[in-house]
Amino acid sequence: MARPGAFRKLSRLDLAFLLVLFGIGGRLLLLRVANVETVLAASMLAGAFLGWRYALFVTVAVMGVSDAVIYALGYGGELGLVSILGITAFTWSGMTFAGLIGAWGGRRRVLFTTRSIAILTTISIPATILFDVWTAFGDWVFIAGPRGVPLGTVYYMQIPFTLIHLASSIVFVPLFGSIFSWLVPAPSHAPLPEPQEGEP
Amino acid sequence: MPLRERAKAALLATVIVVAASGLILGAQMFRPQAPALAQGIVLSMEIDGPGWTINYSNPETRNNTVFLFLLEAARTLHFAVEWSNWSPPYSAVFVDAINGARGGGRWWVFWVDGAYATTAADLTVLHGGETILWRFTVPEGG
Repeated sequence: MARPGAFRKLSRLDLAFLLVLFGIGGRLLLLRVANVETVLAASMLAGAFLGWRYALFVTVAVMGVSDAVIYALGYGGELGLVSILGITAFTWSGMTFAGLIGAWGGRRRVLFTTRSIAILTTISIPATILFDVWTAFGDWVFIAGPRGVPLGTVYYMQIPFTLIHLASSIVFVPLFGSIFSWLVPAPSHAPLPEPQEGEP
Repeated sequence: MPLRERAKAALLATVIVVAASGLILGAQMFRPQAPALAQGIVLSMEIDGPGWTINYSNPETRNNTVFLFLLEAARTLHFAVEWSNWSPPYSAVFVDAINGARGGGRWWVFWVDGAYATTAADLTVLHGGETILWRFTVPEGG
């Protein structure tokens, strides 16, 4: 039985808001699980499915709302305002990188196929590593470094968290990528060119 | 979905589950493990609260993480410790309150032999001879 086509007719803005909800909801629900998060997947998928402008929109919306809720709940208060602002700059820019990597990976149309999802999942690995290398550097600049912890120690301590972050990305990107690739409007029909008159 | 596509999807799902499990197991290998001690070690602790100080030492303790030694001090000297747990796969504790002191823009942080802690209290393994300093402090730069 054919699936009703109407369900696939979500606009790009609808999809962007769904990704924002998915990013915020996942981040807040998983707040107590270190480095298991949905923001990177939401940013990457926004870039891959909707383009780089939506990647920026989704990243800023998710990070803005979820950071506001997280800090309002009192998390991170031990860090101080300067450290929080500094870390915020690194995490937001890191997530933006992930969104732009997604946009680069999805520059050819992402379809509801295993191959497309496998490619997105593979791309999420360097995106996650880049994010963690970047934000660990931010951690060193604003938190660990001023307390005398060497950069090498920060990167060493980061390893288990990056492994968990990679696990998070390779689960959430294909899981939600499958759902979103199904919801994305199907490619529009391109008419075949008219045959030319004359001898072949 | 055609059968071949389903087989590819099942293969991808299997690869993802195996890879994610391996990554999580790999992360556990980096988790500091406190060894079971055959004999006690010497540890001392100072806790600087708002207007009070607690000093505690034990020449023969077998509680060889900062958190376990803090709990030992609390049990021995009868003061309260409150903490919250971070969930698996990389669980850790965050000390919220000691002897009733919590909040008000201050937080409990600790140093081991003058070095700022880079891991959670339950993941900071002690080997003997260390001095732990807990301080209820205002965050730097804010």
